[in-house]
Amino acid sequence: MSYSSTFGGINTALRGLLAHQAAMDTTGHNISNVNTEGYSRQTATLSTTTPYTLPAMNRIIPSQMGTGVEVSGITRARDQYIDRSIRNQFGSSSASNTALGSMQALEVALGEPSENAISGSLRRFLDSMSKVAASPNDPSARQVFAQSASQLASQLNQVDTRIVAVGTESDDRLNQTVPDVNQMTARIASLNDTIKKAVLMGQQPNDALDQRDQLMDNLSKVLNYTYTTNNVTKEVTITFGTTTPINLVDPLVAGGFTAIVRADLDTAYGNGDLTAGQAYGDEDMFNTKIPALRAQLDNLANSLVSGFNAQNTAGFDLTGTPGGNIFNPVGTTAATIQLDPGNNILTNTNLIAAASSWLAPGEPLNGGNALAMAGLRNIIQGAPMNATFENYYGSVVSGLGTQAAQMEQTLGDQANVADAMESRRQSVSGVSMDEELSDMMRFQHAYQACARVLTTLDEGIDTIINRMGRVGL
Amino acid sequence: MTQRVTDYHFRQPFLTNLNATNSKMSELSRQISSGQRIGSPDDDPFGTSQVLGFDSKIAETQQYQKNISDASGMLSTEEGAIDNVQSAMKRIRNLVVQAGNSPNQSGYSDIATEILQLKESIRQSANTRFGDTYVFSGTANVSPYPAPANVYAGTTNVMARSVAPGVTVNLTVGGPTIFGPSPTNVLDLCDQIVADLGANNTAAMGGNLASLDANLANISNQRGTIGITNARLESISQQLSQTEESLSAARSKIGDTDAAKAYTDLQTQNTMYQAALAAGSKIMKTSLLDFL
Repeated sequence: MSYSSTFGGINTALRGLLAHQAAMDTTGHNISNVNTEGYSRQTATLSTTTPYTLPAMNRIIPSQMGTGVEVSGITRARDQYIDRSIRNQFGSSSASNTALGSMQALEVALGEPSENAISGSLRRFLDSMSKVAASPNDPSARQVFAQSASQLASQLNQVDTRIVAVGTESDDRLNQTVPDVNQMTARIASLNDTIKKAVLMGQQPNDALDQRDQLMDNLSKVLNYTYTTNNVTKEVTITFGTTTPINLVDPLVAGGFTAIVRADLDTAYGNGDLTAGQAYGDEDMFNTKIPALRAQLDNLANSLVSGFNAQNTAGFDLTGTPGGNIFNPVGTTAATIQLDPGNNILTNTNLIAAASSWLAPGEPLNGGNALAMAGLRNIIQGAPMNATFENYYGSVVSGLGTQAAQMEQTLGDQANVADAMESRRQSVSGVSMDEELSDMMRFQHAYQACARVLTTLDEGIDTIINRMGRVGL
Repeated sequence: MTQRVTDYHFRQPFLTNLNATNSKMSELSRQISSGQRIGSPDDDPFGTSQVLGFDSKIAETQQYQKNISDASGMLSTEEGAIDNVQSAMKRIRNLVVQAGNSPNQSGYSDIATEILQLKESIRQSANTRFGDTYVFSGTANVSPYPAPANVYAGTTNVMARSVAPGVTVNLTVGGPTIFGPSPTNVLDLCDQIVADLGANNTAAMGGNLASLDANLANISNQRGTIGITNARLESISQQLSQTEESLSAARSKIGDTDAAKAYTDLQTQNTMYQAALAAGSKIMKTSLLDFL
């Protein structure tokens, strides 16, 4: 026969109570954090405590005696592989998102298609030259031409200014990105430290790990990086770039992180290290896409200036003097195009050289040169335009539109992929209220049952203490 | 193993789809309210450049139409003026024939007076203006035959106007083309006849008659040319109208909202939106909590 301790069962039941209380607390933690960004659901792992072998003189129970249950750990449900691929996806969709925003701003800056945008001004300008050709001595036709030339020039100036403003927006955002990144890496570094200390003490720092994962998600939306995790201390090392790598977070350096400056982003974009994230989108707009668009408008402005100046110089104005420049020959960009202040056709419309010759007694009805000027509309301009003014500008607009439309499609596609990945991640890590509630019931019932065991044992002991040995009392 | 479904899986697709429906609805209502299918180039990049191209072609065509209506007015004025010149010259011819056949020179001074009057009427016709434009002074826009001299004051260049892509027509005419070169133009001829009449030179009437006939033939030719040009403008104008119509139709097809389609789509989206809201509100409010 073997004998077990009278009070041993109480301890076993107590362990059940405590373990299930901890499990219910974990459930409560999960429910409380159902809406916390980046939270991974936690599970209390229950396992049996160490059994003991009965030191019997003649063992008739061939087994060990169980001593109850304990919470051996609280684990978080997380798939590190999904994290890695989702961060790549965040990087590319965030870059597209930034670029799309800027491109839409550029489309707004151009304001096409509209009567009031450059296309309308350009059309009115070219039309008005036909009007001068039709009535070369009509001051109102000349006035219309001068007005529309001046309007076209100022419209090009304004659009260029608006485009530059879109670039400045990207530039400002990049400047703001730098302290954002440094703040994130500083927090990751401090969480690294917290995590290391907890892990070395044998604890599972679930909430700190969640916070660090969340920060790394956010960082991946800003720039592309690679990272490794130390298997022992669970610290991460985050590296940005391959050509000139910067260890943004590195437990081995003082403070645990390296602060970056704006020049680091510019250099990384220049040597191809920066390939994703909002920083890439902005660097690409600021350094490549916006200058390219401005260069296209500059081409248009330049050929307008040289084409119309050359043609006007070839003719005779309304006083019989050989024509001068229409546009200031110095201002050959969209930003600087303006009527020639030294030969201002707006203040003196006679200066428009409509006549192709000036025979005695004068040829106010000669619109030959105006006709040639109106004909510039259909002339295919030389490289780099290789198209008429209007077709070239049309291709600039549709080029921008195509880029934006493609970006929109890419972004839609990337959003779908990111959604699917997030869905997978949530499938692993997300809190399900129904699940938590059924767990809660499970643990509650177990807790109640343990309490019942305790009461039962109590009653048994009550019998032993208060009823036994009272014969004759 | 089936995917574990959490609250996220109800909430996120619901929001994503609702958002997508919302953005489609806002795009459709923009199309309907503005009447323009293309709000920004990325809606249809190729369509945008087509619309811009059509707009410039339409504007160009309209300018040609204006040029033509202007031009045909001017050419009609020229025809009218030449008509006056012709009838005056025919009257002069009759008078010259009469003078040549006259047995004595008693009526010569009356004839000379009438011819001088007719000469001034020709001068008046030659100085005809269309609006502010002298039609027979070439490109000079000055009175081509200012009294009292018979010398042409304009230029030999003519005012050309573009009426269709690559097509220009001459509008004004240099005086000498119609009235003959100085010093032997129609006005000079009148003076010559008057001088011959004053000198009772009956024999010269035959030569004057021949000169008159030659000038009349030339004027008639020139009038024919102007008439043909005017008829040509008429047919070009009709072509341009057709072109403009088809350009506008094509532009409208690409750039304008298809109202019927937009309304139908909007209705569909609206139905989907309400269905999604209804379904979402039913699914999301239910949880195990309702039954425990």
